[in-house]
Amino acid sequence: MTQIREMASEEVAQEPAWRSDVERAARNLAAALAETPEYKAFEEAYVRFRDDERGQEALWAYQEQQRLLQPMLMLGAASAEQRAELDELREAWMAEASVSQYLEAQTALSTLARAIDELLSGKIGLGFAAACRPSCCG
Amino acid sequence: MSTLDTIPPALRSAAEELAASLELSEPIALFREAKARLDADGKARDMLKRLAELDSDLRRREADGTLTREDIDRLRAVQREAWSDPVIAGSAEAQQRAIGYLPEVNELISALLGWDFASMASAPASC
Repeated sequence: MTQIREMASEEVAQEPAWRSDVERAARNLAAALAETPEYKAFEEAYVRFRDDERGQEALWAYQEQQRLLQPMLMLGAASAEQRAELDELREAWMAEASVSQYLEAQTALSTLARAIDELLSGKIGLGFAAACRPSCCG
Repeated sequence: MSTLDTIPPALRSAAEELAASLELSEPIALFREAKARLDADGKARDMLKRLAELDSDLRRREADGTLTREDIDRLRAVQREAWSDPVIAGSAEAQQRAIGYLPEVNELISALLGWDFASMASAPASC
């Protein structure tokens, strides 16, 4: 146990200064972002959306139909009626007040996050968000 | 108005602090040095340009069904030549290392926020 503790403290001691600087700056960025009206509106909208039973049911109905039709949609074999039904379920889901408010808040926060990403990417010469997205090939 | 002007001052200052820390971090600093070496090396840049042109030409040939075994061999030979160049190989390696480090930073930001920052920054402007 003592040996493990010693190894752990050695690792901490060996951690380069740049790493802790980046970690501190990343935490500061998250804290500053959490103070913005966009973040607060998104959090509130998310809670309303999560707690809205009708909105959740409408989402479930849309996703379930989408799941069932997915193979047909991928093959381009879904009928016009099936596609229309899916569109109606999507519209019904999006018409729920909690959903439209949530999507609106998400769009506002996403705009802010993109602006930050643009700033970071421009300074480091690499696409920050692009480097962090999971690759299509796993 | 630039997109950057939409960032509130306190948030912009925090983002600039993170950008400055990242610039000084080992993976990003090494990447920027390697990129500068590549940009300054005319021979390496010409080789990469030739490789990109050849790759584009071969994709076109593949699409119109005129791609030959010789075309593929020619592409592979240019690829081998490019990757044996120390400036190109060094730049690619440094870029991979830098790209490998950024998700760690994103994870830290995202863990504190409760949602994935990079995904949010990549989401379309409207759904």
